[in-house]
Amino acid sequence: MAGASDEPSVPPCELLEWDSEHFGLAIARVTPGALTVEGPEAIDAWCRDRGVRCLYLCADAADAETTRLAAAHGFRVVDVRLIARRSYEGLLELSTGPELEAREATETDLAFARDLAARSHRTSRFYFDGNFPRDRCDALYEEWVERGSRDPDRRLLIGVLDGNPVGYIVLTPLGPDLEGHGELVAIEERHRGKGLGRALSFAEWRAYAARGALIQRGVMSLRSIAIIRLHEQLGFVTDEVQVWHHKWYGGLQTSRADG
Amino acid sequence: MTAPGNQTGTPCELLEWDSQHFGFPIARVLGSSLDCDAAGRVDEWCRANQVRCIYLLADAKDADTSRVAAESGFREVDGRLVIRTALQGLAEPHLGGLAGMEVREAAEAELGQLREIASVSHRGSRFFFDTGFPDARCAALYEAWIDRGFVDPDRTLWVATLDGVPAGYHVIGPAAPDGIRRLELLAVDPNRHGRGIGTALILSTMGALRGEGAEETWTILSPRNLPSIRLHERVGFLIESVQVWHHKWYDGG
Repeated sequence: MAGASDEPSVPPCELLEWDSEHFGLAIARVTPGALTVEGPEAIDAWCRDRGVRCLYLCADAADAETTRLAAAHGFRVVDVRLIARRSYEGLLELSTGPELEAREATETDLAFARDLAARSHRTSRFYFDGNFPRDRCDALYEEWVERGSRDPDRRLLIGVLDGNPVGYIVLTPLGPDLEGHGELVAIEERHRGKGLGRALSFAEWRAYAARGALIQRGVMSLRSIAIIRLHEQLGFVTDEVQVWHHKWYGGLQTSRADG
Repeated sequence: MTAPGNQTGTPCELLEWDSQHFGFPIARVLGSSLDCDAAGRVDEWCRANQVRCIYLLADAKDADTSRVAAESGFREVDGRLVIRTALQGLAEPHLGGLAGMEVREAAEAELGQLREIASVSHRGSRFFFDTGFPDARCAALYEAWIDRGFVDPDRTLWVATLDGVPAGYHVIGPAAPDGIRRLELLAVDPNRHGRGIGTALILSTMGALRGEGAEETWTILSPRNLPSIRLHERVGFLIESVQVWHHKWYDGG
């Protein structure tokens, strides 16, 4: 067993309290975002010492060495994420799509938003992993959308068509970099394919522009083709590609039958 | 034995070109999905045919196939983004600021220099990434692609030169049954990145296709190749589908 002096000065991982509490098992994340040849052993030791069951690693897609090492040490790729940006210059002059009212969520909108959230993010890494209980994945997005309404730093916008709610978007706080970023968006299934996602995105961007945003950031799973296409059509250009890996310790959850 | 995907056919097909190029039997799973039974049949077939490496191309949204593939020894080696663009309203190539640059069909005398660029320009591909394939044979694969782009009458090899020296290339593939030609292989000399050569090349080849009467074109990118993704987004390509390449090795490959 390694002595205290062999402990790395910077921990290789961090425990994720919210995720751990939500899923009911210890979850951590590799902090550097890259693996070295020596890294996996220290990471495994750190995780075993703390009873970690699932470990996330988010790495640069171009970092082939990290991806190779991750695969060789039991990580599995669960998502690839594009991060695209666009200046606000000329953005709000583009065609916004169909007429759609967007307003702040009220208490009565929350049931609609939670219900929609529970069924709208099924291609995310949590579902794709296959080892998180499906109902807890649903609940993750329900809670996320509700946080958009209750957190004073966030906003939850509801898209309204003919007086009925048809979708939502959660706005994150605008940081000192003046970069806007909507973190969760969904349109009701029966209204998809009509351009309402575009209309709701423009509502989001108008809200950020009113707060002084200069750049808009889109963070999209490669599995979300429609959202990526929307951003590409509007002149967003990809700045980063990240790969999410998950590794499970001590046997997997047995959630597959739940789904 | 029953086959995955259908109950009558074989579960895989041998890939002659790949097998000959790398010097050992290589095959591909037929179809894009895999369940546990199918994975077993693939293994049986590969062992019976002495296959060393098997490819599987799966839909990126297919979580079940991803899980079964990982559990049965496949490793994810690359993504495959299919992107497409219309050719109407295409901008003219921006050659301003690049004095001495010319973009045209390649000449035979330029093949050697283009092969050199090819041998070092596709290191992010699934063949290099896999590490089971010898690097020299991976490099030779892309060199052969350059030759094929020049020799094959259905392909066109374009070159960008700076002061008469080849600085990049773009291979236009043959027409598919729907009549649409795919843009196949694009690279710029690593010492000359960041000068707009890639943009000039792609706008020139797209312009050539439009000159042939083509209304659209498409290509395939790896999510590892961020500069290429950005280049294609800037000239109007839109993502169409995403797949994932998995490789599995037998007998310690």
